[in-house]
Amino acid sequence: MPDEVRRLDDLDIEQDMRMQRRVWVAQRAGWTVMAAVVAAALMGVFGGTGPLNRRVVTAASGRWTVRHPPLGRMTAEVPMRVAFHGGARFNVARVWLSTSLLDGMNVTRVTPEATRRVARADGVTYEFERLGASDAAVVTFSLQPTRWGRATGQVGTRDGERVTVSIFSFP
Amino acid sequence: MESVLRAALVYFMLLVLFNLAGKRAMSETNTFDFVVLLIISEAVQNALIGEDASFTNTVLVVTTLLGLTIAMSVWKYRSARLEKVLGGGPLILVRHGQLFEDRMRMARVDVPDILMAARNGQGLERLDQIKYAVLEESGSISIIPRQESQA
Repeated sequence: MPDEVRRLDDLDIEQDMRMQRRVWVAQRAGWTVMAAVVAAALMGVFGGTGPLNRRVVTAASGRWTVRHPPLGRMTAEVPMRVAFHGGARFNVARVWLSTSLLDGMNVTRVTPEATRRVARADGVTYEFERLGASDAAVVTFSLQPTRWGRATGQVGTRDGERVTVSIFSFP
Repeated sequence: MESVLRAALVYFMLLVLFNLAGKRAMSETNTFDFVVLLIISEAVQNALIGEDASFTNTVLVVTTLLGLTIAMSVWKYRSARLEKVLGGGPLILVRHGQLFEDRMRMARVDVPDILMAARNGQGLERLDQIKYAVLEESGSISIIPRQESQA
C-alpha cells in the first residue's frame, strides 16, 4: 500500500491533517493577498483610474501643465492632458512629444484634432489652430503603450519649455 | 516565445487562483458560478492570444496549455506531496455520525451540504446513518453509510 494511505478505524484513506492545515493557512494568506491586489487596483496601483495614479507636471514658467497617469497597462489607453493656463489663446499652438516617449507609445487619438503633424528625428510636433478660442486650452493625447516597462520622454511647447513625462506600463 | 510564455503564465496564474478558491468552490457550480466561469474564460482569452489571432499562435497556446496539464498530471502522479499541496487530499468530515465541525468550517462545508450528498448518493435520511463523509480532492462529498447492524 502506498505510504500516504493510512488506515483510520476501518477506512483506508490518504488524509494528512498536517498538510491540510498548511494548505488552509496558505489559502487564507492567498485570500489576503487577493484582497490587497483588488484594493491596490482600486487605488490605481496597477494602472487605470484611481487616486494613486495621477501626476501633474508643471512647466518652469507655470503657464502649462501635463496631467498623466504614471502607471498604465499594455494596449490600454493612457490619457495625457496638456493644459495651458491663464486664459491662454493661441492662433497656432504647438505641442511636441519626444521620440523617446513615442518609442513605447502609440498616439491613437488627439483631442482636439491637430491641424498639422510634423515628424522629425527628435519627436513629433502637433499644431493646433485657434486653441482656447471657444474653450479651455487643453489638448488630450490618447496614448497606447506598445510594450511593457517604463517609457520616459519629454513634452514641449513652442517656446522651448519642456517637461519630463514617465509612464510605467504593466504587461 | 511570447506565446508560450504567455500561455504558461496564464496557466500557473489560474492554477494558483483556483487552488486559493478551494476545492469546494470549484465543485459546486450553480448557474451563477457557471456564468462566472464563462466570464473568466473570456477575460483570459485576451491575455492568451493578445493581438495575434493567427492559427499558428492558437496552436502554440493550446499545445503549451495541454503540455503543462500533462506535465502537472505526471508530476502529481509521481509526487504524493505535490498532490496534497495542490488539493489538500481527502478529508473526513463525519465519522460514525459525529461531525468534525472545525474541519467543516475550514473547508466551508455545512451540514446541509453533507445531508444533500447523503441523499443524492446513498438515499440516506439522517446524519446518524452516515459512517463516513469524506470531502474528496475534487470537492465532492463521498458518503459511506453505516451498515444496518451498526445504525
